[in-house]
Amino acid sequence: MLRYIGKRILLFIPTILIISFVIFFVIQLPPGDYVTSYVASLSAQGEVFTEADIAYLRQSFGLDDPWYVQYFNWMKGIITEGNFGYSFNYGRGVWSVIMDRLGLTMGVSFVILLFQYAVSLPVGIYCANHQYSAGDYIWSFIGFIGTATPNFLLAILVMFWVYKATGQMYLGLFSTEMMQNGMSWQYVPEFLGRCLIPLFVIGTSGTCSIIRTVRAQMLDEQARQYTLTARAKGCSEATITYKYALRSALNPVVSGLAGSLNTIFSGSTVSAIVMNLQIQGPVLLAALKSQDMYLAGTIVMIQAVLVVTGMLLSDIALAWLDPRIRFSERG
Amino acid sequence: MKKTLALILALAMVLALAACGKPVDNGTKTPADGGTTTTTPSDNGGGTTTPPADSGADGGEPATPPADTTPEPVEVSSFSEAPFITNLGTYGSVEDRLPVKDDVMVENDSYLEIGTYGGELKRTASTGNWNAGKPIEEGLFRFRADGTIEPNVAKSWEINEDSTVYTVHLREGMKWSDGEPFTAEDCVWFYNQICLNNLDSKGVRACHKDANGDPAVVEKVDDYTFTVTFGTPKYDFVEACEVDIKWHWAPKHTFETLVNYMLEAKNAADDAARAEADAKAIAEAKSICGVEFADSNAVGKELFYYFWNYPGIPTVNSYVLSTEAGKNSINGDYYEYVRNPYFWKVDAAGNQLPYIDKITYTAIQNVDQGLMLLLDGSEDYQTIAIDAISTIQESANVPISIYEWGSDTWGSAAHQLHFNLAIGDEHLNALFNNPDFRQAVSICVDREQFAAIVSDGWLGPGQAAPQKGAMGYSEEWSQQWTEYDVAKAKTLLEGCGLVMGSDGYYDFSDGTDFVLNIVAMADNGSADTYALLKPYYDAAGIKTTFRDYDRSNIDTMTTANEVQCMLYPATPIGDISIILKPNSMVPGAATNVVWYGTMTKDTATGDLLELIKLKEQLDVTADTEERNAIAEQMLALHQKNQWTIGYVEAAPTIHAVNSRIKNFPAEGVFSDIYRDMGLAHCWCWYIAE
Repeated sequence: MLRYIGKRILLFIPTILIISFVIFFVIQLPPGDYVTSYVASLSAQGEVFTEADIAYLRQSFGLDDPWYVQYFNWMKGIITEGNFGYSFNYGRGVWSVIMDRLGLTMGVSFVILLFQYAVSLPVGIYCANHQYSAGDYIWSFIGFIGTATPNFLLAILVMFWVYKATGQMYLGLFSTEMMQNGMSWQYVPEFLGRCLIPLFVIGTSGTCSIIRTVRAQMLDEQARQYTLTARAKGCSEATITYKYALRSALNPVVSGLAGSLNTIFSGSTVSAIVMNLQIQGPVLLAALKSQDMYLAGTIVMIQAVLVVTGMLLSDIALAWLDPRIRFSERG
Repeated sequence: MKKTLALILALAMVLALAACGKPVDNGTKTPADGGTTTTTPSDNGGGTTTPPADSGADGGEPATPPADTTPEPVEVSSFSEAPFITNLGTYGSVEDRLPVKDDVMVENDSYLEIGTYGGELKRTASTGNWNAGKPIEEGLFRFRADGTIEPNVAKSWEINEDSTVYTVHLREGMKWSDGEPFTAEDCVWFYNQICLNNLDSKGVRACHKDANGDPAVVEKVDDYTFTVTFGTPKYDFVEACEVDIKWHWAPKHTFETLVNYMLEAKNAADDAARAEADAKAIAEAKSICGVEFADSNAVGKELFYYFWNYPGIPTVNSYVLSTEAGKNSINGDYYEYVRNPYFWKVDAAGNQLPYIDKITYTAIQNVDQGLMLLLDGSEDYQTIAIDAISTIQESANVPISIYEWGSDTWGSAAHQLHFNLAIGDEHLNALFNNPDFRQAVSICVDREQFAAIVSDGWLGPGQAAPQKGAMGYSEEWSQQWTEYDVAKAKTLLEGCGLVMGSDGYYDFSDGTDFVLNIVAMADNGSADTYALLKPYYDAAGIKTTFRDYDRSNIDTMTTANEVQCMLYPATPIGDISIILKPNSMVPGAATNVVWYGTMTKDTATGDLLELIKLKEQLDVTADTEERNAIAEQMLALHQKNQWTIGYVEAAPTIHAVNSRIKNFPAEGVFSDIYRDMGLAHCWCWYIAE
């Protein structure tokens, strides 16, 4: 097992290097560069630029080198100094920009993840145990609606309804007052209230697939011989469900966790933009749009690292959860 | 069971659809035929101000400011200050903070009421920079809404006989926002150290160059006087200064050490010395504003040019960026500009301005979110699209006043069509430069119908011509080539040498296809506009294609001379005055203007060359009347040639202001020259709850 993990970790390095190269290549692929979009955005606000101004900007941003030289310098900085480069948009180090929003992003995403599992596991189990009951249909219906409705649309609708009902526009996780005075205990209730819409909107989108997976798996397991045997031996239904069937049924759910690590880091993007959430997703999108390439490159690279790490972790978790995998590995 | 499920699903979908598509019926005001754009605020908007309507038969023209707007000077006998400052108890008396009594600037426009102190102006921002800068920007001089110029930071100025020496008088006793004296030394030092050495990335601006392109000499006479001397006569320094540079100073006491390090880096003998000086500059900048920059170039550009974006930098503006953590970064989710206790303007009763204690900015992802926050009172001010008026009428929970200002573009910018007159393709070049072709493209569209559809009835038909109130306006021009006549358009096209092909579209005479490839910026509604225009072009036999791109791609393509024809150009043609800002109107005056593209004096011919020559003549003409005459000739050339086509009259700029904000001027012109909403003088606004 240790050797296997070691091997996987060693494979990381070339994978990440190749990914970083591809990322950088793709980000610089569209015509123009950061200076183009920078000049475009400022001239839209009325500032006038001459050709000389633009050349000067390009030189001062270090964008007059060919892209592979920029890539090489960037990688060199990361490997030798742990320096992920400079965000043009923010005018400071990429790492500090990412750190700004990391805590909140992870917090929000983690709570959403918990919400998804806390809702969908029991519902999945219930639906399996009460197949074709009214409850099964109602939950499946809600789950499908959640999945089928695009998040951003749901976000707009929910915000609109809440505005109509309360007269308050709940945009973002913090009210202006909170941002003015800093967070303190008195704002906790309002903050939690403001979390409800994102939680509901982003949370419901993921629940359906988990509910359906758990339900199908549980139904499979309940038809298995060992379940039958357990039942014949007089085990209680609770023991059969939670000790036997559920453990087997969890396999695909746990594999699904691999992708969650990355989600926790970046948060959802489109919904976050619609709801003005102060998390990582919109930063990445803005960086990609303006070709703020070191920032975009770093975020995407971290995501890649997390996906790869998530895969490894879920493999390990699976091995721990399922003796069959453990034994086949040993054998 | 399956049937039940299907029923439930169907029911749910019907319910959801019903909820989405529920028509809003609350007596929304529909725009009148004439296109008057004045609107009454929402029903619950008690006590709102409605600007006077300008609803002539042609309707919706920008408000024309009355000619005599210059207020009578008033005598102010004593001064008072905001309780906010008194309560802080650290600033001493207001008299000590203001300039000497006779040099205090009194804001007494006729529309201003004496306000009350306190409160905060809530704004949103999807971007920092000018969004926060323009409203509070103070220039050496300033424009009034009628285009005249008046003293601002400069108390007065004199020009010598041959217009080579400008003497500028400052306000005695005026102070920076940190309390240090503001003197001529700051103005002279700024020019000599920062501009001449190009430390702020903008170098010597056009306003400081004489006819030969040589930089002016700026010298200090005494603490409150400096001179600007040109090698050849310079006739427009005052106006050009206000357009090109605006501020003419930097706080020497804050930046002197930094500038020395930067010059050290600039003049370093080798890389090691440069890196060392660079590091010192970066460290010094960080000690001033707390931000760590990548190199000294960035330091100069950000701190000397975009100075209002950084905390801890003294300014003479009404508001300065907060220095408190969590409120001091324009890239943050929240930041605020707090009142400058040393601001040098007072109201007619001697109350030191500004009235409102601070301007707060909450970061948003796009302007629509700003509109949402306006509706529930979380935002106080925003300019909105004309069709957002109905959203406000339908959904606002707080009283919101709508003010309609004039715009500076020629006709509606969104419906301008620019042909690249410098296009490389010979066929297209000949065609675009043929006025008959442009006329054909102009008259083949039923403007009445088109304008009504694209603007939901808010705007009427128009042409790319100066709007009422702008220099060069004439009714004749604004209706030039606006009749709808497909048969004539076809005759004109045939007169251009085009031949009707078998596919119902015109071809070039050599049989090759003529296709007009129209581009536009993505996400600005041009795709919809094109969809409406295409049937008209098809009917006239003009084959068109359309593709939209990201703005940065458009700019790259424009610079590379690849754009053939652009709808809603990135830089629309038109401005308040061809004298003040000719960029969009004279070939070669700027980059990224599609209609003249890469054209220069060397490549221009005919009337275009004439236009460039007139501009050069304008630059060396002293007499105001002569200058105006030249400008009129330039505009006449534009009228004669109609180099760009417009289909709809200019949309006014719509300000949506929470009605608790008072002293917002009902009339004005929204133009970059006037610093957009800067003309609204936000330091005079006050809050009446």
